[in-house]
Amino acid sequence: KYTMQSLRILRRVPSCVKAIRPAYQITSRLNSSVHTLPTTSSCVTSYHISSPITYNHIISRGYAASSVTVQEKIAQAVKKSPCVLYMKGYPEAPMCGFSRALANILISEGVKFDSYNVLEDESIRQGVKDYSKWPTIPQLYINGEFIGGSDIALEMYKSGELMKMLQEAGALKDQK
Amino acid sequence: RIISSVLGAVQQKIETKLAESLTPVFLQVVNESNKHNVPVGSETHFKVTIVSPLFSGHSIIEQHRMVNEVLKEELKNSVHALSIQTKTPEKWDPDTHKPSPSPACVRPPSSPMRPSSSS
Repeated sequence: KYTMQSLRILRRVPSCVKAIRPAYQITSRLNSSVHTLPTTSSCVTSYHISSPITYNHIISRGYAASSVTVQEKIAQAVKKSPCVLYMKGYPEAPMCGFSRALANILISEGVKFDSYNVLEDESIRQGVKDYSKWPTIPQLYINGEFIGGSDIALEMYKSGELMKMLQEAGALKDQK
Repeated sequence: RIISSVLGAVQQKIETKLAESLTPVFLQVVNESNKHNVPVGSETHFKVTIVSPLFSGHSIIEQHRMVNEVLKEELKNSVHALSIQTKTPEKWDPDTHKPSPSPACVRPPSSPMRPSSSS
């Protein structure tokens, strides 16, 4: 079962990214419901990724309209999952090369993570920069702690430090 | 040793500020805007490689924060993306150093005379 809203989100993908044949199901969390989206639907653009999907993309619009401040929302969000990524676009359809590089590391290693698209909500885009006191996107959080952007994550990945941190946080796919 | 490519005004400012504040033994600032979907001649995307003794004893994120702090005005204004590589002199080998390439833009420029759209 899926809603038109979640389908609309999936349709907003950059036209320059080539759609390859559907190969997996997309799971997105809207509020507290989990929707499983069929890949054979004609109104959904799907992308082939070889690794199994282990992330949740959180629909993050409307933060500014909530009575809870943006900073409080972000503080809660980064602690909700062992690994959280604020990026431009979606893990399966990034809209920035740096976001794509970081998302690809996590996807290829089967990391379980929540992702937030800062382009959906300008208050989050600026809010997460204020929260971490870091001026650029993407931003990676592990166990609620800001780790860095794509340069730092890539360097930590090369040294093995990133996978060690993710394993200790319980964010790898085979971990509970 | 300071290496510069195209010396736009923003690039000059970045180099000057980093040289004065972090007293590097090696500094390279590259304007990578031409790899992104921005107007020709933009100074919005930069890659900084900097080796400084001031980084000793600091974690990599602290080193990057030091660079961000020096360039905070530029990051608030015209600089849209900043790729940073930091090293201490002990870990720096100028003979074997090769800067890692920055990730390709999702929407790279399609022609030399690309339209004025922002990334």
